[in-house]
Amino acid sequence: MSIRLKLGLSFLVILALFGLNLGIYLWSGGQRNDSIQHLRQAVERQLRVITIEQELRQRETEAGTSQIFLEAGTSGHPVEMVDSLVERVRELGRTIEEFVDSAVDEGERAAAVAIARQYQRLAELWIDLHGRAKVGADPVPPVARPEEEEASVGPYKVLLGELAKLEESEERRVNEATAYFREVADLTEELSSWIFVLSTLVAVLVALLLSTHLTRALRRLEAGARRLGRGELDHRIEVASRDELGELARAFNEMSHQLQASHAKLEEARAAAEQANEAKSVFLANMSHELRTPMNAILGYTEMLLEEAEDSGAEESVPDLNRILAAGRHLLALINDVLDLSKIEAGKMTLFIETFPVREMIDDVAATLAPLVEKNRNRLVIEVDEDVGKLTADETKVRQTLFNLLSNAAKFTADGTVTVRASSYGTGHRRMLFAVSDTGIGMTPEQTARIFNEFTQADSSTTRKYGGTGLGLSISKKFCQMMGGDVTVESEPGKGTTFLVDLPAVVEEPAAPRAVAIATAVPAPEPAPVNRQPTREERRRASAR
Amino acid sequence: MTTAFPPPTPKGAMARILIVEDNEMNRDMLTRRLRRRGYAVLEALDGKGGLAVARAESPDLILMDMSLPDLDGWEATRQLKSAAATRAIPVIALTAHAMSDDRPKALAAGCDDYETKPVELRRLLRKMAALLGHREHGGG
Repeated sequence: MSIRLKLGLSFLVILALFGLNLGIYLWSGGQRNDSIQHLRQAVERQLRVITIEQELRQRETEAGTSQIFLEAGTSGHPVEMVDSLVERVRELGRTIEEFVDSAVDEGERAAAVAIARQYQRLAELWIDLHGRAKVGADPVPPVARPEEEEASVGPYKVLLGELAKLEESEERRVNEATAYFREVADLTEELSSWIFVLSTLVAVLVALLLSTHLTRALRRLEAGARRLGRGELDHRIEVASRDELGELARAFNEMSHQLQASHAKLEEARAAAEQANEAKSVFLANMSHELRTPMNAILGYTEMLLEEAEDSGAEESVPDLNRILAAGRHLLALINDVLDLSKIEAGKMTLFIETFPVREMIDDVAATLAPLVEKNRNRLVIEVDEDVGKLTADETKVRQTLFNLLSNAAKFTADGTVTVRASSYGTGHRRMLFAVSDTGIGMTPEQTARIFNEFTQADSSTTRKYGGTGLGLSISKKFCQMMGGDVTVESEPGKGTTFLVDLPAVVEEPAAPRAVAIATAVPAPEPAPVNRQPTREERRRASAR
Repeated sequence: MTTAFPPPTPKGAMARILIVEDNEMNRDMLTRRLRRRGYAVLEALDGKGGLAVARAESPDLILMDMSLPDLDGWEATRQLKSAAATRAIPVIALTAHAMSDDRPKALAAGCDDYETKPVELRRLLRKMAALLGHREHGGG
């Protein structure tokens, strides 16, 4: 049932109650009117009976007067007077006839008809009496007097008795009508009160039911929507009614079902993508292995040939062998870059933290890069502060980072200087700063802004001119970020570039081993060094000394 | 190239190196390059052979490839390190695997150091020298 229908029906129920009230009111009004009418009629009849009785007594008195005249034998009523008396006797007869005609029921009619008959006989006697008491009429023989007296007194008494009875019955009627009137009044009053109470109850009940239903349904919807919002997609809102709110709940459920379905699809797609990515990673790992094995042989044999050539004095083959070696190393570097990036992307790059001397590492990298530095007639300067001892980090990754930065510096600089500096800064020398500077072509701010993006070099012509995958810087930055540091760049076109590698002097092991250390109550490790950026002064010292 | 390499043998004695490697080219190349630097080189083609040579010859140092047929390098190292006779021989793991956690795995198996292939000879020689020197001091 829709809410509109519910509200409509409730309205109709209340309207019906209202109508009932009105009906009761109208009906009781009618009843009251009827009973009042009835009462009034009864009173009127009673009054008429009383009037008739009074009139009758008067007629009797008048008849008595005429009787006295006759008995006295004196001269009687004047003619006009007699006519008037007769007329009055007749008039009462008519009054009684009218009363008969207007009788309300058979009982009354029967009584009235009896009275009328009785009066008729009496009226004849009285008219005769009055006629005889007229002035100039024949005197009535006194003998006849007692008979006449007898003749009129009997019916008169009977008539009075009849009238008294009628009066009594009329009074009873009045009493009955009064009682009925009271009854009707009481009944209608009572009915009205009950209907009012009932209407109020029904209205309150309907209001309560409706509001409870609406509130509950809305609460269910609200709670359901909240749970959906929290991601509980398998939650279904109970559809408790067939109204609009039920529809809404159904729509919500439909929606969560759809969401669940699309979520599942996405999840499936994600799983598939992950699987594909996994496959890619495995492929790259295998590929890397397959590529490295022959590279191992190529580089190894070339280095060996080179050593032999140098030893045996076969100098003419040295440059060619050096080229093979350089190309082989380049190829290996490319393979490694692609592999590293795929590992980072797959989230499979792990840190292997160990402590190593900084100076030796830098010398090692510099030695490896010597041919590249010499190629562009550059000078390589290494400056390591005295207080820089050992670094605790992933050596391979630090080495690779410096290698990348130095080979970039050597590549983009000609007849200049490439400098690598190492210094520590911060409280307790907790941070290590490597600065790789060159006096090369430099970069514009636009170029430095995207230099760390994958597959991006300063611009596309760079690739053609200088080679490289454009992965080195991106990989280096990610390595350093993994170790709690960063790689930043400062450059000016035409003047040169400085890359700053900022690392904690002691890189924290990934979470697991530390947790074990804490659990076994080994003295807590020093608080992690504040991962702050080197100050301007420190940067200036690092790059410009 | 005139960089000075670390001295091939401590105190002039000829250090004997066992190379366990199934790839013929890699084995040959490494052998020749080490011999050029004055090391005496023994060769084995798989884990079982490596174990046998190590037990029979007691080399001063073993370069162990990790992916070997039959008995792999990790297992061979574990066996070497659990036997009293061979426990003291330093083992440097060589592996071409770059994807998995080979390094901690190799060290957990008892390897004393680790090198990724292609071998950077300079670094390998330094590691070898460190281990051989350490052995001289530690075990005599």
